[in-house]
Amino acid sequence: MTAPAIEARGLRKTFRSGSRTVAALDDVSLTLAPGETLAVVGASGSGKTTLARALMRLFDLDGGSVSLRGRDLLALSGAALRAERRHLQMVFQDPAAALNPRATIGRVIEDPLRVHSIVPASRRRDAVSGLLARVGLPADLADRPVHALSGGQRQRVAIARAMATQPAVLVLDEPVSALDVSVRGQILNLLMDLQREDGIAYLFISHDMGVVRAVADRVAVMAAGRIVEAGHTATVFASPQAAETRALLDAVPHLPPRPADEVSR
Amino acid sequence: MSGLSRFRGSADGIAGAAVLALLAIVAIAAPVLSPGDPLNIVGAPLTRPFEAWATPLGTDRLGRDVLAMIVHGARTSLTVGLAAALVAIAVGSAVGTLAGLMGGWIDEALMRVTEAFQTVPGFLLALAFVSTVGPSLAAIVVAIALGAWTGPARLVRAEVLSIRERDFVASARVIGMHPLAIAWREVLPHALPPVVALASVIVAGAILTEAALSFLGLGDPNRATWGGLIAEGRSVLRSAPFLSIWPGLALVVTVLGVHLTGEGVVAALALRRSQA
Amino acid sequence: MSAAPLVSLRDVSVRYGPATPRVLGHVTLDLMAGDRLAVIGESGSGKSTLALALAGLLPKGAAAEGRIAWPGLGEKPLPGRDIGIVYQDPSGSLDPVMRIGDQVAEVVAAHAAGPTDRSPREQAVELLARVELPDPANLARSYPHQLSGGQRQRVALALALAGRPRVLVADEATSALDPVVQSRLVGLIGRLCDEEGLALVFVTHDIALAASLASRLAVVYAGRLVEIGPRGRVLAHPRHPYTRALMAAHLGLDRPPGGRLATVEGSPPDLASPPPGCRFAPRCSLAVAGCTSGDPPWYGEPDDGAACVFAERLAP
Repeated sequence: MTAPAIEARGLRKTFRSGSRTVAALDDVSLTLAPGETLAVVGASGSGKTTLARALMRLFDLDGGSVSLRGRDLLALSGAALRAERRHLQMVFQDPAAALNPRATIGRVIEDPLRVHSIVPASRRRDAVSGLLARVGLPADLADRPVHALSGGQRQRVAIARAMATQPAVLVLDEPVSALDVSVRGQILNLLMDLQREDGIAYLFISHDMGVVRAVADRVAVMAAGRIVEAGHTATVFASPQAAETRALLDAVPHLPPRPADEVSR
Repeated sequence: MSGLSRFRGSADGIAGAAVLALLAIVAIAAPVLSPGDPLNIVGAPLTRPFEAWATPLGTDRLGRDVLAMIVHGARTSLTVGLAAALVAIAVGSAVGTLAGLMGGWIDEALMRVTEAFQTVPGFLLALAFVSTVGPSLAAIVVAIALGAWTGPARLVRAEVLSIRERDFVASARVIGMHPLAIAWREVLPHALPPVVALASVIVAGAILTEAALSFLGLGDPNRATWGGLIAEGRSVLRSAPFLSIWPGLALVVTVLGVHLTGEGVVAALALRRSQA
Repeated sequence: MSAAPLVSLRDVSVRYGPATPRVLGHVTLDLMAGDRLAVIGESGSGKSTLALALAGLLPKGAAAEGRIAWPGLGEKPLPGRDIGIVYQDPSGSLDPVMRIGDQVAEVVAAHAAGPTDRSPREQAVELLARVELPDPANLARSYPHQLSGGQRQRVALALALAGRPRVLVADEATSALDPVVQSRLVGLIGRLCDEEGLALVFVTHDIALAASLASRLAVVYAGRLVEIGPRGRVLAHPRHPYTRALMAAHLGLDRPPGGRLATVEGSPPDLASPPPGCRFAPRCSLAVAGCTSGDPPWYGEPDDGAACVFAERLAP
């Protein structure tokens, strides 16, 4: 087996709310191989978004270890952590909130190139055009403000920004749940294309088992800060073990297949 | 609809901006409108307004042209008002951003200092500073800013505290942006609009404080100031009230203009917020 | 059906101000007693405006053309008494500093039809029990912030039912909830409509969720009603390409895993400058030159048909 792209062991995080302490992450471990998609599913409050943000080092963990491409991510701080971030990127749920509303599209995509000095300043515009093309957007969008785009286009821009540093791991926090149904398929196809081309590992946070089934190689089901079930997608969907998994599966609305034998009134 | 067009839709804003534009032109063109030192003696003392063609607003006890002093006083008032507000907003924004973003003991320390400044009335602070350092334009600007930076500091801190939780700031951290760059490029531009709305209050306050300092004789002695003029006229208030009335009117019109412009700015910003 | 419809829309168009684009155009629709109508559309499609028009709750600035009538209700409905509405965000209908029970009791008292032997407070607790909140007597004493999102939405539902309405409008009422909570709430709404004989207008972006609850489906796109019909007919033989696209985009558990997902290219149009002719034409795989030259014809009955030149060929 190849070395994992990212490996987390025994992650712990408790939040204090008033007098109560809530275990948001309780001994969570996961491994993600290059080019693989691991879906983390759970109801709201299960800790899946906390897990995503903890891996991104958006707050400090109480315990555990994270190894990114063999390096101890939790031991890094300051400039060393910022430099290492180029290998671990994230796409947020709501692209309207995750992109600076005052920025232009070009700046949003250029920022990571500039921060990590990936492309010299003179060639950055070309690099931005190239990234826009990869996510299926025209190059002349670079000078437009972010708010001029539709939700789906914004999420494409967010994906281009995350891909700019050619990360090894991309954390996708419910990347399609804020999008229109007719646009969702485009974004998921794009993500799968990019993964095939670049071999990125995806940690795909979702609450929608239908989406998970379409994109994930493996699934981890979270409840109350713990992983209650994990396995290959086909296995978990065919014979769910945990009650939480079954509840999530039962919640997917069923659309009768066409053509149906129902008679119209 | 852009903020500019909303500003244009506000009658207050238009009126205020027109008044301020007129004052600015007068201030900038002062050397052309009334050449020479406005403190020179040009006629008989205490000429009444509209009596002599050369001194339409009359002369003071020394025979100096009141109109020339008011025109040049506009320069002092606007310069000091704008400069002091600028310094206060710059310092306040820096302190507020730092406190809001860093949190922890830095936030605690900065906020205690801010509160310490807030407990002393701004005018007393300015008075104490100028009487210690001595009256000069720079000293007066600093003195006024000393009492005015706390408002913007607290406002910016409150804004930053909410902005820093937003996803685009997390996204900037995720790509590895330096914390100072995040503060400057991502957070501050979103924290400033309410401060801009507050700016008119600060500018108006600064202009009034400057006038009050000059009135007490703590203005720059080498410059014509409205506060100084009012003080001058005080001793002959019964026989020549116009000496105090003209600069007083100038002061009222200016502060009104600033406030009305502020109303226009608030209209422009407030509508944008409700749209978002 | 022979009874007068509860709500009747005839060629209704709505705009929110004189210089703003039409958010809804030329909608004709009847809501009958006991109907379970789902209004399906994406963001900006006009589905919420349609729901507000049905409920007689269009905001003051809105200008509606066409005819909106409530023949089955007798007069313009009184919000809360004749038509109950639940929004996506329950915090808009809940007072954060008032106990849950008091809020429900207040609405009960405001719409009380006549003298009853039970106090509004007792009725409020009963309502909280009806929306299947646990330990309603105790819960009535708590404040909104002490509840979970799903519980708050159940309280909003109790508030909507407190005036004993005949129509319940759920405007994306379950969309902000996670799927497990959502499916339980959808089940509850269905049971309540059965028990109370309520007509339901269920506004959603999710055609599969709509299909699990509604007996009639109305599909709106870019401010136009593009298809309407009984659930069975629409699902078995969708007559509008957009309805077909929505169904194909559904990621169900019976879909074979892997492979590319069905997509609709492009994004919904900007209503300020809609494309000419059929508004779906730029994204439609079937579109021909004629589609962009004029409004598409309505094929079928007003309550069972679609606005598409291909509707006849797509019909069974």
